[in-house]
Amino acid sequence: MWIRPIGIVGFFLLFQLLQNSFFINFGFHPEFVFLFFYSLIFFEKRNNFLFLIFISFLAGTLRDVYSYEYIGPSIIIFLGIGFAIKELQRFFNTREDEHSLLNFLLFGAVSLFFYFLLSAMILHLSLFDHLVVKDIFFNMVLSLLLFYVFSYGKNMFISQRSKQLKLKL
Amino acid sequence: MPYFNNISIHKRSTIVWKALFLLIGLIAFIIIVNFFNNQVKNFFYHISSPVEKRMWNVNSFFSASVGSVFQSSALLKENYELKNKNQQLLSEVLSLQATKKANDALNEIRANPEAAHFNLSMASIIGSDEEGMILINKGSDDGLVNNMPVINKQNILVGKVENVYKDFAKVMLLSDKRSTVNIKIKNDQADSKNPEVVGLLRGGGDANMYIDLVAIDSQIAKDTVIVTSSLEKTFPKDLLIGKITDVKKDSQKPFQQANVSPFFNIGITDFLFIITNYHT
Repeated sequence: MWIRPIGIVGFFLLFQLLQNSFFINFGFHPEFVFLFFYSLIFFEKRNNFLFLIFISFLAGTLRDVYSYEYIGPSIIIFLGIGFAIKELQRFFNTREDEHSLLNFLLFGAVSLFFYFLLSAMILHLSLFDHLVVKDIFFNMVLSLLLFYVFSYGKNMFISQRSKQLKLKL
Repeated sequence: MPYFNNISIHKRSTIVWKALFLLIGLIAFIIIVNFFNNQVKNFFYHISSPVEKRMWNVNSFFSASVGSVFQSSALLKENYELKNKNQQLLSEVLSLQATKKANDALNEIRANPEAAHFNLSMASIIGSDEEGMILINKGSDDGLVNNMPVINKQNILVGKVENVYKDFAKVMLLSDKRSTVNIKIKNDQADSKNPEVVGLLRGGGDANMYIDLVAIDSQIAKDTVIVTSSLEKTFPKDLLIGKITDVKKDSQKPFQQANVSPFFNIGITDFLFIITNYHT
């Protein structure tokens, strides 16, 4: 039962370190923490708010610890984006077990753009200090790997879905 | 919200209270953690620093090769800008080198005690229009007039100002066929028994000069230095000119001649000095 949360914490930490120490000067800014967070949210059950809050809190804390700003803004950003992604999935009436690549890339690109925008506003940076379109493109290319990992290995990170029909009263 | 559509009122209020509690908890957490912001960050950096350091070392190896793929357009642009900058700097270096050369020449002649009493105007050689004539970049606007002596930084006589324009002037070299200068053959041991030998330096064209009208019985030797004599009106006396390379003596003629090799080499000279307080 604890393996899943510990694994998620470990992966977040690893991605944060990769982002801060390894993938520097590669010509774009890889946002591994955000992509992992987004993948977890996208493939997770819609009403599992506790899980959403947990990973928003975890991802946001790590992002803020390894940035020069105070701790807190990224938690709020991730929470907002997490809820927004769930609302988007509900709005487009997608089935809970249906995860198309197109939806994944589309929602991902939009949420990444808002992530850059909100981060820039809070950190008082110019959004165009780095080329946003180029960064979104390369990050979405990276996210393809995560999409296939989650699609075929979803049992590792995502709550078990019961296939039993539920009677709603 | 659609989440609450199928939930009872009691459960709905429980969820609202739970959400409120979580929100307050989150705000409290943010406030408390930021009180210990430095300590929290220091803790995380401390535990992750060994891994981060290794990743950073590996990064510098990979980013040079992989990063260039993503930065190709930026690299091309940077290359172009650097090339332009390089050319600009090269041009500036050449300009600074020329300035340094001019300063060195000026310092050298100022250090010469024999040139101490001359008012000098420094000029650059622009070109050579005719054989025996050179063009300099000073003219009447700079105070030049005809027949002003021209020397180099070693205080060696080069020629005289022949034609003056507003910003330029032509200098007739000593080797010009029309040039004649009263000279004396330097002899430090001259006395009444061995008086100084005087003669006339003529230009032979094509950087050649020779002494003429030297008395046949005068003793002149190879490698002897010749200087301007006091008989010369155009040039100050005792200015170095050159040295004798060979002597032509014919007992049938009343005068002997000698070829002279000039001390100055106009081909490697960049700056000349015009003596402005000595002219006819």
